[in-house]
Amino acid sequence: MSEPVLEIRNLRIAFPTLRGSLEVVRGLDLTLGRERLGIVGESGSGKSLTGRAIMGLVPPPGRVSVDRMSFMGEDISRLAPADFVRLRGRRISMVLQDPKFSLNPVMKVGRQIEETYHLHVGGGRRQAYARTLEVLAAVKIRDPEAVYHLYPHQLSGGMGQRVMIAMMLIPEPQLLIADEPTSALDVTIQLQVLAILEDLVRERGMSLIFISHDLGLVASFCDRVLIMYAGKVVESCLASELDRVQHPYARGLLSSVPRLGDDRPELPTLERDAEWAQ
Amino acid sequence: MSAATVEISGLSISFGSGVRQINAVKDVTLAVADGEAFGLVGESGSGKSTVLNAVAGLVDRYSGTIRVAGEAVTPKRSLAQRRLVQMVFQDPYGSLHPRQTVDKALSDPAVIHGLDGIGARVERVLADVGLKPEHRFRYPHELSGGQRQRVAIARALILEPRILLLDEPTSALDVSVQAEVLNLLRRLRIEHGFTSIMVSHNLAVVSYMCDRIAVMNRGRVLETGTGDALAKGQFVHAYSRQLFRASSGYDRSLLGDLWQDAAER
Amino acid sequence: MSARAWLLSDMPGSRRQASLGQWYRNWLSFKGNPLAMTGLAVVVFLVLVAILAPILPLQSPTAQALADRLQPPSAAHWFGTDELGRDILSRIAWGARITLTIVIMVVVIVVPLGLLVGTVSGYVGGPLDIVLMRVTDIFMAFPRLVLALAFVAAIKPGLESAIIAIALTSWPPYARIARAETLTLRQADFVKAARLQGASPLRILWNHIVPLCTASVVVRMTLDMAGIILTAAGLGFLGLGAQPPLPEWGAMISTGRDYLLDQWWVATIPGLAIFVVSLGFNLLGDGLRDVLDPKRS
Repeated sequence: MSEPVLEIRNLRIAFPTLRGSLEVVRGLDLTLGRERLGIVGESGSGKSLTGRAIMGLVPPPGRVSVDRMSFMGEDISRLAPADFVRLRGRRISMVLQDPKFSLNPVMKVGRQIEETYHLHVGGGRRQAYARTLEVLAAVKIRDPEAVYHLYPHQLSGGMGQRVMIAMMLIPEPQLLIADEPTSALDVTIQLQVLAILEDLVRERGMSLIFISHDLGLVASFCDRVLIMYAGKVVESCLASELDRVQHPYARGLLSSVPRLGDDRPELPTLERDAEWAQ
Repeated sequence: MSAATVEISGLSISFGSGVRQINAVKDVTLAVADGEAFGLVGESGSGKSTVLNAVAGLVDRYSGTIRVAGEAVTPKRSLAQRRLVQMVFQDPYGSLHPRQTVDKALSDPAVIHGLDGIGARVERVLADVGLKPEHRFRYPHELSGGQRQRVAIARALILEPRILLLDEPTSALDVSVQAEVLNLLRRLRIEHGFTSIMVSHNLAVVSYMCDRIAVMNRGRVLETGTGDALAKGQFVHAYSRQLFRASSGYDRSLLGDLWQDAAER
Repeated sequence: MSARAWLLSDMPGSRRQASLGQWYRNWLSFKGNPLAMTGLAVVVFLVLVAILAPILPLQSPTAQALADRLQPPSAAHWFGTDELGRDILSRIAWGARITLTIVIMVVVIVVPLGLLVGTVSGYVGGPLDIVLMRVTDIFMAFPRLVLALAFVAAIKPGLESAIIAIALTSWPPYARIARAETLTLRQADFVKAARLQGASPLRILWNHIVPLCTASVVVRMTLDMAGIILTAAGLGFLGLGAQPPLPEWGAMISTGRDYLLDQWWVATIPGLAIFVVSLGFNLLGDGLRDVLDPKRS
């Protein structure tokens, strides 16, 4: 394998509380190549914060410490905030769960995408317009010119998420972090959004970190899966080998989901072991 | 199979008026037998939750008839009619009053219906849903999502309803907690023998929980069949098949049909 | 078991213990906010002074001593004396009673009225909502002081008229807040659940909606208190509020105006009193909002 796209060693994120500091991510290691990496875990596992830490977007008063975090060979662990801005959005982008909160409600979506273009690429109005139509087409929007003139509230959930992805594509990032990008969507729409992500990874050589609580979905979509529990990676494997995971938590997660055609009289529940969190 | 406890015929519901009118439910006819676990699946906007709300008596205007336990009901219901049908909501954070203890949330319905021995009832129903006595005087924000959902179930059960309506009861929960709540609901149904109608977008959950299932799309019921048939993909309507395949995980080969369909929306 | 442990117990044994524990936790978080505590201290001090004014070793607020008129602050008269030789310290202390009376009376009228109109309007909806809200709009459209002026002029100048005038002009925002909150709460699942259980509209309003609206209304009230005190002082200043010889702070400024250049303390001291008390209420309101706002967590 060539040089990794992203390498993280010993990532820790802590939040101060009334009873001292609470570590939410505790020593996470990650190496990402040109691939689709899934990070799976339940709420509170630290998966979303990990994604935010890569973007330098951990909300205060959270504190991030990391031994090494490098992106395309460049150390980004000690970047000044101003330099992070340069990196963020341009070379690393993020798609969040609900497009409603990420789009400006009183601005046409086309204009919002153009604004991203001006911010990251510069260039004139005509280029911005052309590029906007191009990225809208890239996310399989049939009539980009019509969608250009819509306001966010006129978009369906799936359409909104596609517009968000289109916006992320403007600067041609090398890494896309998608935090539960499809969990607010219907299954059929979800499939379309995933297909768009897949094409982007394949055609543009992008890397993807796909954060989700849905183990089944991640298993069928990603190349590799990390399973997080209480701020740690408890299992890491190829998605195709998910059935053979060893860690009891990962096994528990897999078996507690009802499947189509399930005839178990009772679903196994997770007996959480305090040792897993050690 | 005994007589139907819930009978819906020709139910149509629309919101708004004029050009803004949305026909959420169009001519739905369903019958749910006594003791049956019935499921409604569909995507957002299919009208499944609206049907459930109408059965609960939370929709003020509709056309068609709804019969509960053999009796025709309207949105204005007597206390006795109210007691027959209770509901568990999707969001465990929004379904409990933030300033009321569990005890208050559970005793209130009993007070309204003038039941006796309220303290004992509260204790019993808490134990029933797997909560400990120590949870009784907690506030919702001191409970986890799964515990709140148990409280919501307890609140519905304290009135000993004959019909329990479940509106996506586990979709806001983590999968391991979902398993606990689903197990609980199955056990309670066996012990109490109530009829249940569950609404969900998750085919696997519905087919696991329900005897019979109706697939809804754009306000209409497309077809009805057994849970087994759904799980085996034996539903015949094109939309049901699409839903079934899309629910089985990420599969690129499905996309051809889907793009076609998306263009129509 | 200590009282603290009992209050902070994870397993309260009764509803009362749970609710007291909740109050105690709110108090703990309120206590951690120094500005809010300053506000509380000011308000508590105001209340104490108002209550204790008759038994404090003060001179009479109305006893004139023309020989001692317009004395600067000194050991005998800490805040000096006014144009009739009355002790300003004593007048401030007695004036606190008037200010507090106005504040309490306005709260007693405005909060229930605003809550009633707002929650009923929001919950019932339909034509009733439209009528109630248009009435509210009409009251809102008037500038507060002008309406109060007109009202006081129409009846007779005095403390009671001032209270009624202020109350009449300050309830609409509360009705608006309560209505807005009710509109969102009406859609909440716990309200639907209550309807399913057969709870009557009255019960839902009283048990579910009013308690949740009260917090924001009370917070708004404390923040508005400064405005109310200022309006009361303004009415007093114009001679339409409490009548002489009552030591109302606004009226005191009004008379002190004539001596502002040479005897600054006559107008400045009551001005400072108004300033400090208004600020105190504002700080308290800010602190309360941080603790009580249901949208916070």
